Amino acid sequence: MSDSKKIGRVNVLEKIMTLIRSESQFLRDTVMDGDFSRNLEAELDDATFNLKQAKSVLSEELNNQLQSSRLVKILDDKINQQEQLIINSLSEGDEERAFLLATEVVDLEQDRAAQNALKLSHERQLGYLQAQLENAERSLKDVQRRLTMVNTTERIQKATAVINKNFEQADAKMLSAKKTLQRIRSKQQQLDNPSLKLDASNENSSKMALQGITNNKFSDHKTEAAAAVLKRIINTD
Amino acid sequence: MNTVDFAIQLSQYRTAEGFSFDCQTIAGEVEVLQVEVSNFDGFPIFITQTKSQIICIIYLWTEAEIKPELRLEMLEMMLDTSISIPLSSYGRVGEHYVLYGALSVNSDIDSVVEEIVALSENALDVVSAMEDFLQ
Repeated sequence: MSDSKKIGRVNVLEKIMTLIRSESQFLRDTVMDGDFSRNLEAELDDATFNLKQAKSVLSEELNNQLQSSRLVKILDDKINQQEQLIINSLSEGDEERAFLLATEVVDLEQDRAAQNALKLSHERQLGYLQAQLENAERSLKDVQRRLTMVNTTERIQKATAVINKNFEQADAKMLSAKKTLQRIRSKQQQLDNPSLKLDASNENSSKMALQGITNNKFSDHKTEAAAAVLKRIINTD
Repeated sequence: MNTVDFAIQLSQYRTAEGFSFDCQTIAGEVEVLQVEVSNFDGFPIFITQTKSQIICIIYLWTEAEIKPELRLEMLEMMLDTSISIPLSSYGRVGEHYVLYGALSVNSDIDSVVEEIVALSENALDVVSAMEDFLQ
């Protein structure tokens, strides 16, 4: 919080806190009205534009740097070739040609030094631009984050108003936690007790029915098997 | 995904634990979806969406429902326990104390369902635990 004050940007959370602490409709309007969001959105547009521009300049500078590197490499190759030619000329005893080639090497070396300086300058510029780009990215993310805070606060306030209105029109009990909890508990009790009775009565009647059947109709073996089936089904239930 | 898409997807969803969802859109200035978890007697969940977040909220209780002499203790208890509650946090919107979970708008339906179920279960635990602070 103190950092944000130091760097002088708007701390949205502070504004929201002030809004929450204050009963002032004026302040509420100031924070939540379209101007505030619009200001942040304008900041977001600026940050996006800066980022796009920085990326474009960076891409251009990257090309320049690559081009310089390529030129330096070409000059390196040329110098190597010339030096080889000088060695060949010297071995053939052609000192005049060797001297001529050496002067060309001097020119090439001068070109290479200039190109190296340019390359170094592009690299420095590239480093600077990369830092700028990262700053723009950070700035963009920060504005997006602050805008998210404003939008979320606004959204939740509005959604709560919508829900409240809906409750007023229909079912207000949902807003009372304790009553809801009591309702849930009593419903669970109602569900629990009869189910126990139902289970017990089911088991009793099944046993009685089983007894009646086994007394009358079937052989002992079949009766036992049927009893096992019924027992399994009752236990499953 | 907008709230209508959520309503359609949630209505067709069934979790491994057998939870399904009854959805109802609430008309108003902003889109709000009311969700109730079938086979789970709890609080309704309200879902709304900003550009970057999906916010699932349960309205717990209002200021008027708190025993005034226990209010400070309740607030401390809420702060102390907030971090222990999985996927949900406490908040307050005007007079209403809420339990909420926020997800990225890029979250898939499985994550939203996970949030809804956790929020429902958490809310019941919270109200049950905080009952003594309420009138």
